[in-house]
Amino acid sequence: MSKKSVVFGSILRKFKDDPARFRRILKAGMGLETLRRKKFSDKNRPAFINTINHLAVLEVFKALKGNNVAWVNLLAPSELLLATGMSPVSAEGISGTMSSMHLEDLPLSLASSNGISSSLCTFHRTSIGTAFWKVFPKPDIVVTTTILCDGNAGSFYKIAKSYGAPFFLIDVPRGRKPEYVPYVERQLYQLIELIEEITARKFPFDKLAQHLEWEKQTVENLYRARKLLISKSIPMHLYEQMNALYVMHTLAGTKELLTASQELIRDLEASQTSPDIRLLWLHIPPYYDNALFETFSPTGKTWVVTDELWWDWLYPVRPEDPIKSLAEKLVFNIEAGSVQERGEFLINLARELNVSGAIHFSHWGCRQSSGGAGYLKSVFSQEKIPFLELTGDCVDHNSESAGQLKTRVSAFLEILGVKE
Amino acid sequence: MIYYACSYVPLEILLASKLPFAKIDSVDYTEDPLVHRNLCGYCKTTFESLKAMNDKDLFIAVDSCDAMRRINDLARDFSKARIIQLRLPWKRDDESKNFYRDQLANLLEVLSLVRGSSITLEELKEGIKRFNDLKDYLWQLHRENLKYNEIQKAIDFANSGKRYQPSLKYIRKGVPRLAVVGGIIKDREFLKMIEDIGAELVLNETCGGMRGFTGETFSASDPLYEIATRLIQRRVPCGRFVDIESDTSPLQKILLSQKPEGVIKLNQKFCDFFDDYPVPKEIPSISLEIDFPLSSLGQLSTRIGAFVEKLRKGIAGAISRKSKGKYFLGVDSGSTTTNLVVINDSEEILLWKIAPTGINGSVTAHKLLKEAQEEMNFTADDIAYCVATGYGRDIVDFANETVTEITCHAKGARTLFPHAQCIIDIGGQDSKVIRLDEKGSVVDFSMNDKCAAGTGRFLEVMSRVLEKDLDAMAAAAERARKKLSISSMCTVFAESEVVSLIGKGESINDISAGLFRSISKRIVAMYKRVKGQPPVVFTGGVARNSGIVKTLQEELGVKFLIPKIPDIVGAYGAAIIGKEKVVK
Ligand code: SF4
Ligand code: SF4
Repeated sequence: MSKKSVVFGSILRKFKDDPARFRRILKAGMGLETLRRKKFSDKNRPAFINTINHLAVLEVFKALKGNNVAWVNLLAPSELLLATGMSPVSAEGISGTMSSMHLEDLPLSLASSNGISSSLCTFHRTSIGTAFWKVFPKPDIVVTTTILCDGNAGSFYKIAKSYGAPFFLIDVPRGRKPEYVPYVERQLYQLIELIEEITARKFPFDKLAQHLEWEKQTVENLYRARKLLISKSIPMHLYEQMNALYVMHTLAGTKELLTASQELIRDLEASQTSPDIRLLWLHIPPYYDNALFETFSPTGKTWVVTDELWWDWLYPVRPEDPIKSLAEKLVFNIEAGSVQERGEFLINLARELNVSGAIHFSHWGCRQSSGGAGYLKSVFSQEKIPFLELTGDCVDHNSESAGQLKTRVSAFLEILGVKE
Repeated sequence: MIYYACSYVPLEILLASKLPFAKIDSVDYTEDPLVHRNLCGYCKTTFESLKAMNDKDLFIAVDSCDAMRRINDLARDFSKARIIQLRLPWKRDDESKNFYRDQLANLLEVLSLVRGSSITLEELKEGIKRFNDLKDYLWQLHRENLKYNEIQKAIDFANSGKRYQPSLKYIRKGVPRLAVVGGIIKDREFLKMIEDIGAELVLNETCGGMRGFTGETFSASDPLYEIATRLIQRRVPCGRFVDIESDTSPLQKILLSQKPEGVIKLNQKFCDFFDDYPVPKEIPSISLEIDFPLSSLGQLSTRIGAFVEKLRKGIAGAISRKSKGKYFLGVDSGSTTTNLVVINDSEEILLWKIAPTGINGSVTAHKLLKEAQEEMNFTADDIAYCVATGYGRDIVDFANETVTEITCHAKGARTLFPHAQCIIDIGGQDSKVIRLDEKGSVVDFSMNDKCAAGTGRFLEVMSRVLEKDLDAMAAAAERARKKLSISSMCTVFAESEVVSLIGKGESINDISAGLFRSISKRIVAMYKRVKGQPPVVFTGGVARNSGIVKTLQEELGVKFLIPKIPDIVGAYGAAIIGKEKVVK
């Protein structure tokens, strides 16, 4: 997608001052891309990859079309929205879309001229700027949580306010304690009330149960896939890691994700090839076309086999006790815990999957992830698992030259014994 | 000892416990690889203190933000102190209040354990009373208009539950009264700087100031609930909470009662992201980004100085003409060059001089003065008034007065072009965009941040890399065929990017054009930030370069007005301000 997106972006840029026209052209472009990924996907690629790539663009395309759209962050309980027929779109995904077309500088400068600090995470800044720009139509609701990070509350509030859309914040206390569950549960009921108000319909608990049933199966499948990942892997582009993690979060509980999880198992079982080096990616990879896309590609020797954020959200939700189990899913998310808990979780993942090393991408302005990077480095080195901390920006392709990323990664790979 | 760092720690309960306690109060830190550069300086200093604590100490940790949350995590492994964690909800409704009440109950238990006997209901009520007394006392000092460094001391004492007897020094009358809100600040140098630019601080609302001492706590049957209510619903909320900018916010009320004439909104890097501290519309305000601890007081003082000048609505009161002087001098002591302008009563430029500032700006200014005196044959007595401006304005010791370069540029440009609405100035090491109103007063301005991106320095570095002087670069850019983008705005990264473009065989023409676009981008963002509009005057040495002029005009879609000698507009403005003081 990368190179093509950039070319498309440079055409789109000409219409930057005419948001309505910009939207029409972007919609046409994304419509075609959605169709292409569905109907004309590359039959040589694993089915799982084709599915998540399609779902990722479909999600943004739906938001662009408008109608029953909810802007959410990665951890917002999409299940509640999906049950009422709304389409959740992650604001991070919208930022990523801009970035993949090298257009993120436009919303970034809009955000900055509206007083948003440049030390705020670029995922947030870009989505706020995009909201100000009105390229996307007004969402029906904006929902966010206080985890993964503390920038969500303010950023999504700005987005909601700029559209005049209803806003709901779920405060998830950090610390993963059972006594926090009722507090979160009560907020979920408040959210349900708000959704009922917006849709003017009783909340369909039966549908929710169905979604949770699918999610339960998806989670079980992913655990099975994790077992397979120990000895097998499927070739992925780095940006596909991104697509995967964001579809998994925002579309948890959909039939489509359940299908994807089944495909993943089949793909892994059928996989014949394996790379020389298997790596684990921590946090999020950069979205825009960059030199790392060449380093970690299906045809290369080194694969990133999975990302930390495939695994944080997996929780055995209970269709028979939906709201409470969704509250638990939030409270017990590993990323709501301490860096020590995160460290233990990642060491286990790395050991279990037998990876040769891990790369932590400390994204500019992200304090929750990079705040733990130094600690993670020390525990990984105690465990003798090579660890590289990359600092950079996932969204802003102007921020640090991609050449730098490449040099650091190449040096790391040399240590791991990969020859160019 | 009990330590804490965040104003969401309930002092009522600490006072009730009668245990000694203190707020972490250091501003020093060494870079620790455990603490990432994305975290704010305040966290770094807190972590430094945590590492120095011993096993008798107790640290009350509040996860007021992601940075603190991580510092608290790390403290468990890297500090000997015992740690109790309070989870702060980031909402302000009743559910959140109840949640925080439970957190406080937990704290109460731990403190009871620490002192070996449980804290009684009576003690809690007494704690509330002692806290209220302390709080009222601090506000009393505000009402008495004491000098703020005395009040700040009293606040620092109150943070340990103690009362400080201030010496009875009062703020000056007739100077602008300022309040600071937002990111944490408490530095003495900051207070001194406010004094030096001729204003008085009358309120420090930040968490280094009075923010923790806001909101009422009443005596009630459930004191914990009451304390939680104050903290979550009644006090001034911190930047983590989303609904802070509503009209009913307690901050609005406090500002209205303290009657500052201007409010400085400080947005701490990596902390205050949204710049939405609610300031009543009728009070002018300015937003500035700061670090903790403060660095670059120079830039801050220029910005705040310009704001104060704006508040004073021009410089008040004509003074009598000094001796028989007939000349007015303006000296602009910038970081790259020092410029001097001599004018007469009719504002005609009689002489102008430019010299590199070098390492000793004061010597350079004197040298220019001496040269001017020799060339025009005048003595010190012939100088009616001299105004210094620019980054080094305070070291020009022969000046009668200093005025910031913002005001001076506005004055100079507006005199040359009476219809100007906006000024873009690109100097050697900083650049600024200033917006004027109909009358020519500064309405808003923006300066680039402590880095060379978007300044003359950026071009200089690139011209060295390309081995072409700036005019040659401009000529080369004219011949560009391809739209190359130099993505890094940072000078250091851009330099290596350019080197690699040359390596790839890209033409110097295309690279030059790309560089001009890159610097323009930066300026365009500033222009948009102040909502600039034509007619636009372009000043500063860089305005002589046709490459940047052309690119910037294209990007902005406006045609610039460019003074004949664009370098000396600041100095010219300074001279005119001096003249207006004397000749009315
Ligand atoms: S990158 Fe970090 S700061 Fe940005 S949205 Fe994600 S978790 Fe939050
Ligand atoms: S100053 Fe801001 S970022 Fe730093 S600890 Fe306080 S709330 Fe967090």
